[in-house]
Amino acid sequence: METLAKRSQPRVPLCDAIDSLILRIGQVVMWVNLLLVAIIILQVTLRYGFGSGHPMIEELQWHLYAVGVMFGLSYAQTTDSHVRVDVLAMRLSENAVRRWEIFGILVFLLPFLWVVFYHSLDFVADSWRTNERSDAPLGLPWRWAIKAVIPVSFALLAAAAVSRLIRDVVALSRGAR
Amino acid sequence: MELNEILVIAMFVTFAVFLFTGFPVAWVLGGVGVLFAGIGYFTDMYFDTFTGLDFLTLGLVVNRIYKIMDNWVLVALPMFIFMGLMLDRAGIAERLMHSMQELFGAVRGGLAVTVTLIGIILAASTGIIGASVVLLGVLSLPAMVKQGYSKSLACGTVCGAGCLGILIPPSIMLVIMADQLALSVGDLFMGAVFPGMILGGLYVAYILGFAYFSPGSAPLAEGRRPISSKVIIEVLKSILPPASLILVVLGSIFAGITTPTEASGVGALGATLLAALNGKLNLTVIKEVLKGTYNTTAYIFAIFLGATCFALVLRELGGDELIESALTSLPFGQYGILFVILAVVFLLGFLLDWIEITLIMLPLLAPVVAALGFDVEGYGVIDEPALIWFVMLVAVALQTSFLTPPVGFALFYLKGVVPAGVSLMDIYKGVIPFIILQLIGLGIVIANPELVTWLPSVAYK
Repeated sequence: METLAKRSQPRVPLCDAIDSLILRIGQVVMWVNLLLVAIIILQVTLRYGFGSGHPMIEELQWHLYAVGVMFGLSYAQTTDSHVRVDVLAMRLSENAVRRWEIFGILVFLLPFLWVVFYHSLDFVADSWRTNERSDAPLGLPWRWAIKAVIPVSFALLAAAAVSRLIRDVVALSRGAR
Repeated sequence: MELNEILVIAMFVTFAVFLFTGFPVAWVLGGVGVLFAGIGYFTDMYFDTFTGLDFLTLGLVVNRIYKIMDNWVLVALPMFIFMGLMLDRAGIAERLMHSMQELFGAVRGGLAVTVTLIGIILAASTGIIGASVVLLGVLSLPAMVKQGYSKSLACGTVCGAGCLGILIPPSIMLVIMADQLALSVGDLFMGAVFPGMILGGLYVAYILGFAYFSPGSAPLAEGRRPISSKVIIEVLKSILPPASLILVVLGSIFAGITTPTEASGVGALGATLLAALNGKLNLTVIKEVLKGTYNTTAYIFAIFLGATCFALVLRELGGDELIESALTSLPFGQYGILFVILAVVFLLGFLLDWIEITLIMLPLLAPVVAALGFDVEGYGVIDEPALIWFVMLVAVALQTSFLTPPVGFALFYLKGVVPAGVSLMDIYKGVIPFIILQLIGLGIVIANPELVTWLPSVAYK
């Protein structure tokens, strides 16, 4: 759960730069949800007010939702909001928690991110090559663009994870002095 | 035992062990998936297993992630989260608390009943246990303690009412369950109405009864105003806006006017209008709500992504068949197996929030339940009535699990916000009656599946 006390992190210029970039991207991308409200209302109005359906507007909805969700991953990583089970971890020393964090990022998170990132490149390239578009005649073009959200957002997430990794390593090495 | 079966078990054990390191659940899931894909690849090469796992197969995770992005049903999620956060910001809860307290002030236990009703009305709020328990706790515990309520009754009420949120529609848990099991969101929402009302009713009855027989633990407020028509009008004025918003959202889904996704967008707009009506809407609030929505949606979906990798590898290792055959070979009969499944869900609820359980366990358990052939009346109009009933049972079992000492989530969240002088023991003692009430509710729903399936069947006629 997100109750794990946010430990004070050492300042590292590179990490500060990464984190503030991700937070700033978040402050822009977070508006997609407000846009999504507007688009849904527009759709409802058009459908029930004027009896017309627009596949493009419908598809725009999941495009916006997907952008919000995928870019949010790095934001939640930077704000340390991802769900943790900390019943036992709460009792560990600060150094032990940092060591487990380093272990987790290296053994679990980064390999997972690499697998998804690597395979998503082909996934996007295929879509680009065939100039894939919506199956619906009136749907959105440029399917590769929304697919490209996967590698881009995972790269940001990896940057956020590396930033955390560096901070934990720095904190441990400073503590050991 | 076959080697791949050992791998399946090892995979679950590895997940469970590393969960306790406090590393984010989503990434443990994803990482363990990748790790065991590698292990499967090597056992294929050297130990003649047939998992078929390799780096290329793992690439399917990307297709599965894209399927999560390209999903109409799940679009409702950020919208309902937005709606819940905006309702919180609109100061609805405070106004309700303030006005209903006066109305019920003349009844013993009235304050606790108020808290339960607010819990039900605000169930639309994020639907995340932590958020609703914290909100109710902050709002009502100081008032109840000040009025001289027994601490355990006060704590139990808050936990019980806070957990109702995951069941009562529009609950985001039901949206996710519908997506995972390919059920209709509308059916689940409607199916949850009676079980939710039964639980809420049991809580209110218990509180009133307890207060009647033990007046010392629920004293009346001092210096209360007599109930005048003014008080009643105040209550109506505070209860009408949120109640009508929720009725509009649910009603338009039930009446088949809008899809759940459209209704969620309408609900988000409605909550924003309510905030404006209460004079609470400004740029700062909008930014805060958007930030919260962005963050909350992301950490829920991170678990989606990790779980999809975990589930893919688990399936390749033959985990689905293993669990199915293990459960169906139990010598218990259909209700016995159902009981075992609910017990497993209950135990998992100690460790995991409903998100992980819904994403990993439910897809594994649902086919087993479907194959058990429960004769649940679908009135000829509902698809998969037995599964809809099963989902409600899981939802109630999960609530119980979140309340059960020593490690229920709700208890810890509440512990974080209790006023000085309330101990963890008060909380533990307070929740026990509510656990019993939930088990009674669970029993009622098990014995009467029509409570779940009747309403959706009527709505679609």
